[in-house]
Amino acid sequence: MIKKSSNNNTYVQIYIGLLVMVISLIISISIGRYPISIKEIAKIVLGKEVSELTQRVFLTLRLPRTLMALLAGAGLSISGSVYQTIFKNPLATPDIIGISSGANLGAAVAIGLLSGRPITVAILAFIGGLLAVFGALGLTRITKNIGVTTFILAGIVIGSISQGLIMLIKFTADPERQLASIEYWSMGSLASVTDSKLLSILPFFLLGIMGLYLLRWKINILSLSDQEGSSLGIRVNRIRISVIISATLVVASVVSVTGLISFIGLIGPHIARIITKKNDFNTAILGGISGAIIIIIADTLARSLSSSEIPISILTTFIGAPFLAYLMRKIR
Amino acid sequence: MLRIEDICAGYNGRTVIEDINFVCRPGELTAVLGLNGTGKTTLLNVLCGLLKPKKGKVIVNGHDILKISERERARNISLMPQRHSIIYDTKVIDVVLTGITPHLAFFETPSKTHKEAAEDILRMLKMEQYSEKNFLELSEGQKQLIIFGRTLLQNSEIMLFDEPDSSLDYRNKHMLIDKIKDVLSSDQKIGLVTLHDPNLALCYCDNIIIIWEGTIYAKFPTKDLDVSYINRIFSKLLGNVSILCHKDKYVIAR
Amino acid sequence: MYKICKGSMKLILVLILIIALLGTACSKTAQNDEQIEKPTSMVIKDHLGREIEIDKPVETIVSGYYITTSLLIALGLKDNIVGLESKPEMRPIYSLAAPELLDLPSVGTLKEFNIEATVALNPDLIIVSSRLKDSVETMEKLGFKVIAVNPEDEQLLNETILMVGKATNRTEVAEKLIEYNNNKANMIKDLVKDKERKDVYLGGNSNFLLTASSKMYQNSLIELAGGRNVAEDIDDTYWAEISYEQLIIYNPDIIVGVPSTTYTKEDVLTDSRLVSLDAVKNKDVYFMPANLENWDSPIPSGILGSLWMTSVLHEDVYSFDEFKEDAFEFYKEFYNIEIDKDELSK
Repeated sequence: MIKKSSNNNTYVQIYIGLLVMVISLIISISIGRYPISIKEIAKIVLGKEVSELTQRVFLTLRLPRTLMALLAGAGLSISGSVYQTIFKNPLATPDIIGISSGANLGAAVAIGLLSGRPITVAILAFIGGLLAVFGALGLTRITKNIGVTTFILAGIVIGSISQGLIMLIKFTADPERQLASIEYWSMGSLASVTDSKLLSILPFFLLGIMGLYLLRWKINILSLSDQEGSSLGIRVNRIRISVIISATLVVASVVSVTGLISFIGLIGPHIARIITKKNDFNTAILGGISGAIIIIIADTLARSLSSSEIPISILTTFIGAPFLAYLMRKIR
Repeated sequence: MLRIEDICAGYNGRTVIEDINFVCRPGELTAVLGLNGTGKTTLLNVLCGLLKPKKGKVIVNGHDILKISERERARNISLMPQRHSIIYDTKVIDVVLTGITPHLAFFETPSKTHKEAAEDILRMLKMEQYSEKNFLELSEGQKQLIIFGRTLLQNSEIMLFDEPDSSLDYRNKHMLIDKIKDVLSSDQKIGLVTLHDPNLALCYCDNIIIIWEGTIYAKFPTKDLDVSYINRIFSKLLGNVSILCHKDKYVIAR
Repeated sequence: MYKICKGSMKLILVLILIIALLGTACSKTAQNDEQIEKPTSMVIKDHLGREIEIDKPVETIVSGYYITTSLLIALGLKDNIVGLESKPEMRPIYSLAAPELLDLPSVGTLKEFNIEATVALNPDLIIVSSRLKDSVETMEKLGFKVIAVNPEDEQLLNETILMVGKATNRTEVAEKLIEYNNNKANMIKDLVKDKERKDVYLGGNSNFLLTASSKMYQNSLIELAGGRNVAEDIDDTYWAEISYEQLIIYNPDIIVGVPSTTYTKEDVLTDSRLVSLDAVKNKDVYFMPANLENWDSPIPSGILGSLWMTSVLHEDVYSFDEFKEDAFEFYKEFYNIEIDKDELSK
């Protein structure tokens, strides 16, 4: 009996997390500048008659945005958890291998050098994130000993190059319109999410999540040293690359729509680890749920605290930084 | 049977070990002795597939394990590292359970049966009351025992141990090696252990291989020792030592 | 194993492609929602090249751009505005000509435009900057009439004025405004025709060393007023940061500060690094007033910026008092307010 309690506990924790998530989802979905009551939402869900405009606003704006908040929180937290596991570093974030900088560069190119249309920005940010990671992975091949440090160094190289190019673009950008947009992009926002954007990133997001899910046991093993992983029959490097690519798909698809959202990949996983005292995939899922709840709440505040939207990273940073201080105390 | 033929290996063009040839038999524990930096760990890395040798073969039951997949190799050879590398909170039972990895299909995760096997191993090690505890909060001796449990679940024919005693106190050291010996003889596994302490090797191992500057300097069974022979060998390795006899075992003192 | 991996990589690639295609297909079907056909009465082509049908009189308008908000006031439509861009209190002209705007709901900024807030007001017409292309498409999908404008230079400004005038049935006023602007522009051209061009340095609002390159509207404003932008050779960026040394080489005849700078005229005149400049020696340093609107941008009252600049550069043919008279007349005519001439400064 006692032996099975641990797994059961985790499942109970996940169910409670899901419940809280659904509640915050329902609250979030009924808050916004366009008045839609819970009653009307229920009517829309049940297929009953409501005003056409209400229905359209709900289906093309409110619902996609809230679902995107959920995906962003869950995706960034699960990937964060995976990065922390495979890089054996509790403070690893998607930027450790250069995704965020790459995506940021893609967005900056789109805003500063091309049309700056949101769809261009999203596509280039997505491609930028992927290219940065492939660049970093390619870079690891120039050394003979491929270990975790090699990946991190490659990430730093790619990240620095991206940052340099971003600065160059910022330097030549029109401060009034382009520079502000580049800055704004890097603060993250869910304001421009629509149903079509959500649908177009969903396949990539799900593909990445599916990859991580299928590799969940191997991800665990990658938290051990390469020697131990190898002696347990894992092709350490190949699996690591597959995991990185899957996690990158998730992060890039989220970030391409929302811009950079700071800290969430750190807070979600750590909350889950504190709760479960484990680091398996169930914990990563619980982390994803925690992240989703935080982003849903943060986004609800972002669109209701003031008349214009507040960039979401401002809110997640205010939640994240104190939390990091707390972790600092705990880690010693 | 494990046969190591003419292994030569190193890092970045530098050769660390050379001309390594020896044979290990089921039920026996073979010790690899040597000073720091003589290539003991390099040899283990070659055997567990982490390092590709420049030449040579590692033959297990007629098959060269350097030519089979990682997973298949891991089903034949397990490695207990000098020190575990677990950094995140993990339940003891889950640590043991990772040993099943080479027996899983690519996307498979452990089943209930696997978990029960892991629990059996904990019972055998008399650690079942720690099953749900956080591995990182155990004592060093308990941790090594749990890692040994993981090796047991991996259930490979050949078990490698890389200085398993290095972080243990006197009592735990002997307790762990006793357990290793028990398993090897009851399950007729092949054991290969690197050690620093020649007394442990003399006391527990069936064969001793001494590596000196990357090559095998001596190999001999611990039964029916020629005292003057081993005195000469250990003196070369450790400086002036004398061999004492205690309860039909030999002890080195200085 | 390696081959298997290669094979599965291919498989994954194919899967990605299929799913991506499905995804785009889904989003396309979502876009093809019902489009209701209605009898045409007026078609407007906006700056995104879209054609908008206005099929009933526009009663309520949301303006998400300060330039079009000001334009709506000039067209006499302030009572039809039901929502506008954030921070209207930053625009003094609103509190002077249409104080009721300050209490209207805000629909966000150019960077963070709030579609829900706009839609919640259920306006007959939405006017936004063409930079919000994405939001424009979304609001159109929700069934709203949206005009996207891009008043970047004089030409585009005139088009914007006409477009909005036509959509709101105020074509006459719009044409009158454009005619006024053209008349004044021609007047300036005549006045400065035979005058020697003066070298002007334009200081940006956050930093004195930030200046308008030849890509900017401000450059053409200086040229119209019979001046020469000393930084006209810079054409690879918008607001360019220069060095003190560069400024000393430029040695402008006149230094002009844009409206609402973070530094004052005193700061420029007393800056020890600038004492060698002719403009500083002769105290030819002027700041464009900010108490009404920022005339250095392409806004409906933008012609006043050129007039002000003319009075600064060539006072002998167009005095500052004449300018004050013209500004007074402009706001009386189009904004129906009597501005305090004494508040106009240079």
